[in-house]
This record gives sequence, C-alpha cells and structure tokens, in this order.
Amino acid sequence: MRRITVIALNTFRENLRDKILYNLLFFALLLMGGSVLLADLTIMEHRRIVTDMGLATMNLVGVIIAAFVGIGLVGKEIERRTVYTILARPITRTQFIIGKYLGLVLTLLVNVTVMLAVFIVTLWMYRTPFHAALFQAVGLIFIELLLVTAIALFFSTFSTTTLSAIMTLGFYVIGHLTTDLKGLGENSQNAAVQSVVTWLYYLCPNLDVLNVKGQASANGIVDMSYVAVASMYGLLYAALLLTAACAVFRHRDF
Amino acid sequence: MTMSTGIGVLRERLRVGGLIALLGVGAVGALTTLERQRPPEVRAAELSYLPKGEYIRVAALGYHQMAADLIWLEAVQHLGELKQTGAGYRWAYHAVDVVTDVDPAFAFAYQAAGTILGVWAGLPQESIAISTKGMRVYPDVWQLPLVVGYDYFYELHDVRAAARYFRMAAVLPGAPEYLGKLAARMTVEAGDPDAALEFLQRLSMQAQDERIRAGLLKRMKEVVVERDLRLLEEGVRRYRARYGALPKTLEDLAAGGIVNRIPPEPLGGSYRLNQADGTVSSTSLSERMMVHRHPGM
Repeated sequence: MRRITVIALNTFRENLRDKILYNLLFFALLLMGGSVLLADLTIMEHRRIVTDMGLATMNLVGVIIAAFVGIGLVGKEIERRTVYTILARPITRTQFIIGKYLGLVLTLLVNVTVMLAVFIVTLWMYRTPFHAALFQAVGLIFIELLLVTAIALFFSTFSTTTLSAIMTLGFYVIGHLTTDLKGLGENSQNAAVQSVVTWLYYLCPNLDVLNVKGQASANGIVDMSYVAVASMYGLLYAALLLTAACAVFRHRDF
Repeated sequence: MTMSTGIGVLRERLRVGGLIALLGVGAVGALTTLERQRPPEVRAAELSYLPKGEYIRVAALGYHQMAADLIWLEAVQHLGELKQTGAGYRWAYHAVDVVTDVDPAFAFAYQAAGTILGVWAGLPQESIAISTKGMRVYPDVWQLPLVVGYDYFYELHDVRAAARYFRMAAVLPGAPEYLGKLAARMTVEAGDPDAALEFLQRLSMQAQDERIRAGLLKRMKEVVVERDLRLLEEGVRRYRARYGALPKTLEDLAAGGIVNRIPPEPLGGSYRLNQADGTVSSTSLSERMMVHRHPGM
C-alpha cells in the first residue's frame, strides 16, 4: 500500500509540474466570462444558464484532463524509459498501474474541488441558490472522470498514445450514445440486430446514467438510491478496466 | 514450461478472469437497476418528440441542457424583438420546438414562447402547439392551458375550446382565484377587446420578465386602439343615421353629441376618418388586426 501511495504522490507531483492546474484559470475565465456574457443575452433564465455553463464546463475540462493525461500515464514512462528504473525496484506492475491511476485521481479531485469552489462563487455572484442536486451532479461528474481515466489507462497499457487517445474519445462518445443505441435497437424488427445492440449496450460503458446535469439545473433532487447505484456502476466498471489494465500490463514486453 | 508453472499461470488467469467477470456482472446488475429507476416520463418524452431535436440530442452528447440553452438564446433574440416579422416568429417557434425536444424539462421556454407567439406574434396555432407540448410535460402548470385558452378565445374565436382550457387552468394548483370568474366571463364574450384587455392586464401583472411585460403592455395599447376604432366607427354609423351624411372629421362626432370626446391614441398617433367609406384608422397601425374582426364586420 505504501508503494502505491508513493507512486500516486509522484504522479500527482508530476502532473503539477506539467502545469495541469493552469486549466483552472481557463475554467474560471470561461465560466465567469461566459456566464456574464450569455446571462445578459437571455430572458429570465440567467440562473439556469449560469448553472448549465458551470456544470458543462466542469465536465468538459475534467474529461479532457482525464483522457489526455490518462493516456500518457504509462506511455510517457515507457517512452522516457523511466519505467525500467521504477520496475527494477520492489514494485509490482499491478502496484505501478494502481499507483499511477490513483495519482491522476488525486489530481482530478483537486481540480474538481477548485472548479466547484469557483462555480459556487459564480452562483453566489448571480444570487443563484444552489441545491443538493448540484452536488449530486458534480459527484457523478467525478465518477464519470474516474471511469474515463480508467478507460484511458486501459488503452495506454497496450497501445500507442495517439491510438489510445482516439479509442478513449471513441469510448467516451459511445458511452453517451448507448442509451440511444438501445432505443434504436428496440425499434428494429430484426432479432439479430436487437441482440447485438443489447450486447453492445451492456458491454460498453454507459456514461449517460452518470449525467444528472439536467436535474441539477432544474433544482430537481435526484433520488439518493439512484446516485448510489449510478456511482456503484461507475466504480465497478472502472475497477473492471483497472483489473484488465493490470492483467495486460503484467504480460507486456518493453 | 513445467507442469507446476503451467498450473500457476492458469490459476492466475482464472483469478483475473474471475475478478473481471465478477466486476462485469456487478456493473451490468447496477445498469439494469438504473434503467428501472430512471423516471419513465423522461424516457417517454424523449420518444414522443421525434425526430428534429433527436439529432441535436445525439450530437450534443451529454450536454443537452447546454445545447438547449444555446438554441434558446438564439430563439430569444428573435422572440424578444417586439417588431418581429411573421417568418422570424415562425423560425423562433421552430427553434423553441427544437429546444424543448432537446431538453423537454425547459419549463420557461414553453411559457415564454406560448405567451409571445399567441399574444403578440399573432401565431395562435404555433402558440397552442408549444403550450400543449408543455402541458404534456408539466400538466400542473396553470399558465400553459391559460395561454391556449386565450389563443382559442381571442385569436381563433373558438369559444367552446377556450372554455375547456380556461376551466382546465382554473382547477390546477396555484391558479389565481379570479381565473374561474374571468374564464366564465371571457367565454361568453369571445373576441371582445374589453375582456381581452382585462386578461392581458392580469397576465402582465404576473409577468416577471421586463421584456415580456413590455410586450404585453404594447399589445394592450393595440387592443385599446382596436376598441377605440370600433367605438368611433359605431359613432360614424350613428351620426349618419341621425344627420343623413358622413361627418367631415371625427371631431364632428363629439360636436354632434354622438360621443363625449375623441379618445387619445395610446400609441402616440391619432385617429383619422376615411370620408369615402366612413371607416376609421390609426396613424400608428398600418393595418387593422384581422383577429379582432368578427365574421360579420
């Protein structure tokens, strides 16, 4: 456990050195500037616009970090050949992968926390009351980021950085489309199409179930049991991908 | 590879495979539970609004609300314009239709678009379409059937349909007390500017948005002009019946004791008499509103 912590903290420090937190400045400018600009253009619903802008930006910035930093976690170590010095120590490959993952999760946690703080300040500036639904939405956004990081890390254990990026973004898009895909499959008359679509639906990650941004902007509290099951789903899927990533990485030759 | 290492590798693979299978079963179980928990009305709404917004929903990935907001912003720029053209309003209606396809829970879009399209854009059918669409998602919001009732009553002169919607609005939670009485009154006076004025006055008192209130007030003034024009034309007819000729100017009506005085034109213009046919017009409005004319007029 101590070894995993050391790798995680090193990954976190490395992310900080890579100036990843500069994105927070970008986020703050985009959120505050965008909200001020857009809110003045609308009738009545400026509160809704500020809430939607904040949640969408937070989600987008987080996904970009999770995907693009996630694919470099292992690839960069191999390219720089630093992986040899790490694995020459009494650290197993599984500990290395889990440590790397937790390091990025820590970076994302800091990011999301600061973004949430900026978001709350913006809401306060617009005198927009914030409800528990908002925190539920942010919580599920964080679960989504954990899942996207696991997808990126999984692909990076056996593929190049560019291919991993393409596949991660592909999975992200598919993840938001599986519900629609299932709907289309159910309308199909062909039994084979129906079964293939159903298989794909359960095989691919469903990121749409982690999206409650709509309820948050309408101040509709989501049932806590829903949030709990959705979080469990995200965590289970992420754990599955991590297990697969560890299994693949254990047999990889450099 | 010796027998024992072979067994070791197999055991490890079984362990990893078993763990992955266990996690997979857990994830599928959670997903199945989530499917059951997702509110059915959201899914039904998504299915019933095919197909225009559907494409945008797909393209917007998880950012439906953001996409809806951006289209709404665009639509508002056209809806908010008080001197909009019919085509502009129709385009705005289409945009609001798509907005509510992309995000069916966008309550304000139904209310604002329904009011604007019906009350001052003169597009009662579009107003009814967007308001009734809203009623399917928000069956408890009394403002929506009220707007539909207004459209039928004042714009389409369908008293029976209007009465149905007014009654529907009056019994919904939060509906103001006057609504029942107003509904009863309005349904026996279809197309009457005075009744419409009262309705618009009530509606403007409840409007929270400056621009909507401004639009309603402007519409009220137009209805006042229409009421005055009817009054003055009726005066011209009575003048002709009494004196056997058309008056030379409108002031002759006051001088001849037909009306007390010529009312001021609320939009800042003045009333003019057309001596050829005895009709009266306003310098501010280029044409009479078709909606105010009874079939017999």
